[in-house]
Amino acid sequence: MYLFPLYITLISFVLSFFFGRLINNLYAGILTSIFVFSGFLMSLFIFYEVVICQSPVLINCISWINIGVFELSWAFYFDSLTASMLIVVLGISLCAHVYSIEYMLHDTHQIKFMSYLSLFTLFMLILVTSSNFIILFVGWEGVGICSYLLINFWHTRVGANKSAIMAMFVNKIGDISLLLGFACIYYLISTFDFSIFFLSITSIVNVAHIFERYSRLVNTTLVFVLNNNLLYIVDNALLLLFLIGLFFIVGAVGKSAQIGLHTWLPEAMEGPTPVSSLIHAATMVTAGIFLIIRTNILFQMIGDLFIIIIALGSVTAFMGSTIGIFQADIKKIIAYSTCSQLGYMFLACGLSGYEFSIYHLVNHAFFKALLFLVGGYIIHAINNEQDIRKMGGLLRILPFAYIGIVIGSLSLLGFPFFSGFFSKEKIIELFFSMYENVFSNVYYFNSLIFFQMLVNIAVTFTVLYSIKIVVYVFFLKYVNNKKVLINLHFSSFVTIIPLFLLSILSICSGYFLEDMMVGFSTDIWNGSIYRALNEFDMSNINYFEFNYLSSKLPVYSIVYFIVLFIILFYTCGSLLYYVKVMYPWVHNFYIFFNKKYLFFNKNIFYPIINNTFRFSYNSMYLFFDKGIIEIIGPFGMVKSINKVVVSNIKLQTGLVYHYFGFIVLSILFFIFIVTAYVN
Amino acid sequence: MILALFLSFFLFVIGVAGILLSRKNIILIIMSLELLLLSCNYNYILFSVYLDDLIGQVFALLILSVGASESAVGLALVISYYRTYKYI
Repeated sequence: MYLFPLYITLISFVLSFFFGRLINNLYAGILTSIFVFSGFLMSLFIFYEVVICQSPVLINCISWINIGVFELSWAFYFDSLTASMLIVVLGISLCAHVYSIEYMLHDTHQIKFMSYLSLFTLFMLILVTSSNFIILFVGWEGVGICSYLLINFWHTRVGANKSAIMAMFVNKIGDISLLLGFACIYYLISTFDFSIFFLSITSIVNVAHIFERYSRLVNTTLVFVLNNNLLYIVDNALLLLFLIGLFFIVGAVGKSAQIGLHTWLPEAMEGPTPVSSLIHAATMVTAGIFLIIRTNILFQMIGDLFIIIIALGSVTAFMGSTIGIFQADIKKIIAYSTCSQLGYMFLACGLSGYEFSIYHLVNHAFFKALLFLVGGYIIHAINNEQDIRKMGGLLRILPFAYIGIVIGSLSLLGFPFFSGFFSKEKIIELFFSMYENVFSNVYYFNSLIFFQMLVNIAVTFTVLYSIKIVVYVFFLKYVNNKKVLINLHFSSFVTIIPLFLLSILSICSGYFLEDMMVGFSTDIWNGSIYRALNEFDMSNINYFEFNYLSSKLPVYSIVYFIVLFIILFYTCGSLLYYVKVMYPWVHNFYIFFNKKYLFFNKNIFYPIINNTFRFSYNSMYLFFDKGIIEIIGPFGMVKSINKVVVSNIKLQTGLVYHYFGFIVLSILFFIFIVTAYVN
Repeated sequence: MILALFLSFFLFVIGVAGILLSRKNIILIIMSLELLLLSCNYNYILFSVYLDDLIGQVFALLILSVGASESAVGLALVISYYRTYKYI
């Protein structure tokens, strides 16, 4: 029963991929949707059994690699983290499936598209249900491959090809880093099992603590002499654990599009809209966050890694929101908002609020999928136009899209009592609990203040671009071609259903899930997540209450800025445009953000990519593969055989006395050698 | 003894040189082959006398008969070649 979602998505993929052409587009879409829907229903049962009834399940299917000292099996582990991820993945996947029945109906390869969606879901399910790192890596890589296939779905477009290759390339950095982390794990404990890994982390760290205390109590040199070997081993293990943490962070950065490796995420907008919603809401980008949450004990036990995660998360949140303001493509804006929200999730992991991270992940999945699907609905309606400056006045034409966008945006920017409010505010509040932990270290303290400032600014900017979308798309005067309005395409009821469901979920999921997932006395995370808040004493809670005003600052700022931006937009909009045109430095400022911080793509990534490819072409391919190996290998062999044969042909004169001469000469030579040897 | 061996060696060298240097005359090549065989025969006989072993002389007789038949075959080939192509 527990493996049913995995099997059903696999069956969905196989049936639609190999036999989908026997039925038409419509029925293939309906078939895959029904399969995924049954998987979703089963995931609800799994949620009930695992989370509500608190019974984690480990299913050991078959042995995969078995070489005596090392054993690896296809084992799947269902705990509360997995179960909640299952619901999110399958729910969003179901919405994407149902949505693309109509959205992709007139595409010639719709069946292939549906099968890829199912495969994507399957790999994500493998990733979240894995019980060891190798199975996790299978899902991890499979998700990458499917993202390539889906981003590149309209492969006749150059942009789609480019961005798909970019997604693969950027993700590969994270993958390699993750593999290095696995190598460290194997060196450390010779197995990839999660449970053994977590157990060994705690034991290593405890032994290290004992040593520390012991060496303080007793004469240090004595301890060193006595336990030199053991100390060395423990120090080595601690270093390895630190390295593993670093490698995992880089892997998560690649997959979850944190700053540095984030460029693939907005580029992935070249794919069809259901793919964007599936990748950005539930499946692909949450893989990195999931990895961090899954290995939370590592990050909790090994100190000093949290500041890296906090830095990455808060800077990503800031960067994503600042770039999002200056974009004009509706999908790109939403993509950068995804980037920003992933930054919040990462940040929550760094602040050791892993349950806040997964809570925000769930809420974010709902409202982000809603935003993307509504975006696709708008784009489809007005002749595939993605530029928000060419939209406008769609309030009268697409009122349902307006409702969806407004609900999604309010939830995204954390408007009180929408789902984003519950999760985002809590993540920012987590800073206050962290200050106490790092109070002794002034550098950490100062950097935390800086990062909190960045995040608060990011919250404000989130308000700005959400309002920008709403105003541009729905309220301004329509400026585009008249023919677009004449040929308006309204999607049918089938497309509306997932939007409706997601709207309801993004309004109320935060409220419903709050007490269960992040409430103070919740016990659903037993064993799967290390809860720092469980260890809070009353002083921290008092601290929250004492600083109630400052901890609730984002809420006030959001409401304030919504009103302020709307007023500013209508009063000073033309003034801002005037400023932008008149002053070149303002224009440069605009361009800097509009072109995604300029240096990331143009000055860092393209040179790296170009030089890597040039190096690999010139030296590795031309010099080595096509050079040395070819000369030594097949071509050189064939050529040298030809040469030898041609020179030997000259010896074959056909004259008896020549042959006889060779015989005599060789006999003389032989005699000469023998005599020389004998003498 | 060593002088007698020199004789057979020179006979052999004359035979080899005859085969190597005669580029036109096939009769000469056959004669040189005979000469090679004879020089070997000479060696056999010499060593059978020297070692007082009759088997060498018997073997020399065998070689003589084989050499005679071989030269006969060679000459027959030459004759039939001449009949076909009208030149040697």
